[in-house]
Amino acid sequence: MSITDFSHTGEQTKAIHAGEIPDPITKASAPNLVMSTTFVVDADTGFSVEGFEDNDTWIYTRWGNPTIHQLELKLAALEQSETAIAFASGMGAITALLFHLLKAGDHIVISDVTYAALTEMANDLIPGLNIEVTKVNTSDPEAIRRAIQQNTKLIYIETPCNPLLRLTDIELIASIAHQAGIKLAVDSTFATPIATKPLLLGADFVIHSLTKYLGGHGDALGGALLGSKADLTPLRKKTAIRLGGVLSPFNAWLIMRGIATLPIRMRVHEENALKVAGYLENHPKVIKVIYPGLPSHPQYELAKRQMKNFSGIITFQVENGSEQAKIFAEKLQIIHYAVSLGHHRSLIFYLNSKDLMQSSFKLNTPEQLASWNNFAGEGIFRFSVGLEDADDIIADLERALR
Amino acid sequence: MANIKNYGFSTKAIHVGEQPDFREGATGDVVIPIHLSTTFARKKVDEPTAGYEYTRSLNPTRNALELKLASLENARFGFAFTSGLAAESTILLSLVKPGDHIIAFDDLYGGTKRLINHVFANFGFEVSYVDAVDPQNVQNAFKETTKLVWLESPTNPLLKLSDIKAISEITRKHGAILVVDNTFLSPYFQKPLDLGADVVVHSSTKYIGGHSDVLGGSVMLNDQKLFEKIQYHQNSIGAVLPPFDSYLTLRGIKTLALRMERHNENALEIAHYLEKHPKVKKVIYPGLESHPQHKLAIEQTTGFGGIISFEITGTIDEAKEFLEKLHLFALAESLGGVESLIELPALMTHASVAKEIREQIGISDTLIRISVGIEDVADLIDDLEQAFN
Repeated sequence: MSITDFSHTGEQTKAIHAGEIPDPITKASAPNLVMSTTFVVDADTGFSVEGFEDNDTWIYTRWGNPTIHQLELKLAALEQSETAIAFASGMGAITALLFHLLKAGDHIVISDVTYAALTEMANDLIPGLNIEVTKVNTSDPEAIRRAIQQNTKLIYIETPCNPLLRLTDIELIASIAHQAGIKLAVDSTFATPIATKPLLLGADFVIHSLTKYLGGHGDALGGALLGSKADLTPLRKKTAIRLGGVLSPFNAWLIMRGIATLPIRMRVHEENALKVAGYLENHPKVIKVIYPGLPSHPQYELAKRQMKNFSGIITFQVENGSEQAKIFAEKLQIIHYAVSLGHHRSLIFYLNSKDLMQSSFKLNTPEQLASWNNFAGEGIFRFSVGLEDADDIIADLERALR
Repeated sequence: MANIKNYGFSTKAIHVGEQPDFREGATGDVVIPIHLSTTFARKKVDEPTAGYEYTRSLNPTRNALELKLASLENARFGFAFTSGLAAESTILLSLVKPGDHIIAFDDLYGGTKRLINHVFANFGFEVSYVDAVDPQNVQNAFKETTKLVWLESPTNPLLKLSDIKAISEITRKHGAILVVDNTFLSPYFQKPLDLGADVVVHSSTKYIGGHSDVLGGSVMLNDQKLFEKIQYHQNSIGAVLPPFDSYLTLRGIKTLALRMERHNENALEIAHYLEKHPKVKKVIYPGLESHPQHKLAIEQTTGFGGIISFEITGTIDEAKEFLEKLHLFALAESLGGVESLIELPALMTHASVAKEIREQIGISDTLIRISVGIEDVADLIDDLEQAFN
């Protein structure tokens, strides 16, 4: 006998059990990995996705697959959402959301600092389809209010945002959006459902790059979209299944395995990040440390209110960042100089402000630039603090920060 | 990674064996690739490329795991096999020959006993089973021909401990080899080689893998000669862990420290809960002061693990009913996974042992073994509570 309702259980229990119903035939306790691309169906099964209602009858794996479905149930339980759709990558999830909600003539308000691939998409691809884009600093509610137009369909935020770790007040922005009849989407990759549950704060959609903390082991790309059935059931038919950026069952299985340890990993990521942030704050070569768990973070009060866990990403500035980046790449022994984040391993990467302005963010108002500079200066290291012993991480930094 | 020995357990668990490859043509992967190739090409006829010839002998993914396994036990060498029993078979075939004598703990895992008593029955070696709770019993069992002493600590399911250091001294004095099965505590809580054992064996299916989705066995040791013997037999017998399973095991190890801390914390809380429950006659957990070897547990280990055995009041039918009422605890054999498992040894893991013998050694009809998972402990206690009522 096993339970299917996880509304009253703790996060660890959900992380392990939700979605993973023992196989009805073999009673296998660990989830099966169903690789089959097609499923034997009844003779009256339709050939078009139009007649497709629930995602628990199996026809073709792009439409739905038992292993992917188990992951979707687990994600939904963790975010306390009605339903979830898994994608091949975080960008796959974002694309499906945008192309579902927006058509030519519509308008989107988007954070001026987001994951770079989305920012770049908002620079070219989206406006190219005659969809209007306004990029604002979403930590400023007034800026959002000012940006809203008659044809605004979606407000899209990231909190904490990548790479600045600037926060946005989800509850406040949700009320602004809803007063204007606009949907709110929140990329919660940095926070994870262990820290923040944006849907409970009023958001309509949550986006995750499962590649990061949820998968947690740096070995499977994936993305997810969470929200109400009313929103996501048509989205699944229209853009998830038809655009085809679906997750592979094997990655779904690996990510599910990763989620089993999500709550205990997040606890250690936070514990280590707090120690490392404290160390960096006291280091003479470090100009500035940004971490939502530090009282010095400009939005520390909001962080405490909105995040049950401060997660494991720290950004910091040093003098001569570009030079220091070279030293890090050469001298660090444990911490890897690599992009991505949220892995068991510590990863660090330098983001040069000038380069980023040219390639991605293209911030044009003085206020937006001032906010960027205030957080990032000439450039920041984005440091994804891993699960190693904190003493070893600090010793590694100490060696390379001389 | 110049001084691996100086790193903490978690750092080793994440990094050893998986340093990114920055050589010409390499890709800098931060996790080891799954090398599925069974054979490796050469440039020169008489030179295997980077030592690789054929996956049974050496495979890059398995090698990464073997290096990591060794580092966790502070060992020089590690081996990965297809199951705990494959690891044990290889040890026995490597180290014991006809005419030799083995001393083994009388409360060994049933599968190990079956292997020794039945599979190797005609192999011509002799076995004495002793209660190794008292090292004197081990001392008394030695013969001229004793080659091997085989311990589990704690044992399954009665959680009896043996004093590894004391027994290693006795074993060394007699020139024999001490093998310790460390499955129940994992290297995170107990390091038998540091306590004087010669060989450590694990079912990595349990805590090391940790997700109940990959079988495996491990052997760790320090001595060069023992290494050569085991390596020769690993390759000759061929029960090597496949690359894919090696990868999953490596992946599990990355959270071993975190998981063990949680297993231990949850188990301690559940053990205290059970001890106070009116329907529970007896709780066996090394972390409880009531455990007769609690003091030894504190000296020899840095934690008590996630396995608890307890006896409930009533009949075997009532025990069955209790188990079948549980929602979160899966009624299943095996242990050490993130999810909680429960079983009734009398009808499941130890069903092959005759009732009289079972009762004699302490496995009554209502003795229940739980492998406490890493769920929220309040949910686990709620589940037990509703099943008691």
